[in-house]
Amino acid sequence: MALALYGVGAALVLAALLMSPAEPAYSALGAPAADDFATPLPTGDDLAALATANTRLARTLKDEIPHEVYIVVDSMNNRVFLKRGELIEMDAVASTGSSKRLIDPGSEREWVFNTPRGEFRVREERRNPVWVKPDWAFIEEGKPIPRTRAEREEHGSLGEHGLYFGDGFIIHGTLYERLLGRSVSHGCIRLGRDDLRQVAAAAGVGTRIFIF
Amino acid sequence: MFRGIGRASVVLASTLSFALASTEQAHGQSTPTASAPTAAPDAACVVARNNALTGIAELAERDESYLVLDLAMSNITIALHAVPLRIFPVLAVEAATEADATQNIWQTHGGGVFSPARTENPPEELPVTLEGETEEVVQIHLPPAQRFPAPSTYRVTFADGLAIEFHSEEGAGPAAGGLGARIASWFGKNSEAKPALRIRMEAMEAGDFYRALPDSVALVIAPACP
Repeated sequence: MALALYGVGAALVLAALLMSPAEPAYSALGAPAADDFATPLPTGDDLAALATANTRLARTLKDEIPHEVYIVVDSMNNRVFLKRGELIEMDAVASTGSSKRLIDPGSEREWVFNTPRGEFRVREERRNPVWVKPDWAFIEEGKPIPRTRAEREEHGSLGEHGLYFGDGFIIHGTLYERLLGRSVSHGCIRLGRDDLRQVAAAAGVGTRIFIF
Repeated sequence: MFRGIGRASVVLASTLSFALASTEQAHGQSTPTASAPTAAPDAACVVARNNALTGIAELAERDESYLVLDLAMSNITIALHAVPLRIFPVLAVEAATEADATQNIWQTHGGGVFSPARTENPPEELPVTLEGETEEVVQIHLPPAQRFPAPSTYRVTFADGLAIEFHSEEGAGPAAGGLGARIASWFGKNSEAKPALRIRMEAMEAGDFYRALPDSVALVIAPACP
């Protein structure tokens, strides 16, 4: 008897589920409507003035888009775009910061290898840049920190061009092109040889760099 | 891994220039013939467009990236300082059909938090030849799509309560009407509020967008007006 009641109950629940409404419906989002707004909409001269303000504001915003070349870095997806106005001139696979943390056991200094985000400008451009290895490079390799600059210099590892954008961060080449697309750098932005050549040819000191 | 990367120039209309043409159309300036009647601007469109433009102008003053969902251009853009950084095409933008679903959406929405949060897969070990001398096995992060795999459906919920659900093309056709959804709904286990908007994107675009989403992001919705 009890089993039969359970059976009937289960059947009723199942029927209710099947007859219950599906997930609420969606439809294409259309143009705004008056009831989308909590306050009354403007009319007459007020409306015309608002429309005029819109035209002016839209032009102002459009003028903010750089007409000259600029560089965009998508650090989460390891992509670099070379843009000019609304045109994408290059879309390249890059390597950005690994986010790894390094602590110097001797001094307890700490580094986190992130690529910085925000807007920057190319401050300096060098052909065949020499990497002056900072302390962390030696600590990471388990080597003693040298005393002279000459001992810190490494030739050839940054590729043919270096675009320096502050605090030691550089857009440069790499010896490890097979790792492009992965987050392996110490915060710099690595590009393949051909892509770096294209960026270096188009950009120069003052070029804006946007990193997100 | 990365499809469609190349040096071919691609012309993309700027998201942030969306409103210029539309505004002029609202003034009837896009029809230069003298006999054409000048259509009165639609008040709701003008106000929504003004909200979007002023919102962008305010967000552009900050040093944080933000989102612009442009319904006229069918894309969503990550922007910084009024400069569109990366534009992601969208396949469809849908609104819940309930009466108040779109109320107050034509304003700036701040504090957007995405869920589920990104989960990171561990790095792999790869042999790397260091300085042309020795070969070492080092831990290397996976490529982005594998390191931070994107769910087929994710959500961004803003501080004012607006929730947007993003569906990758592969994830389209969610559990709408499915028995699982009905059971969850019936038992009140849908703890999250129903999203007001649903955006469908091509799978790779949806994945890249998910990975690139800034924390606590702001959003402006630019209307598509006739």
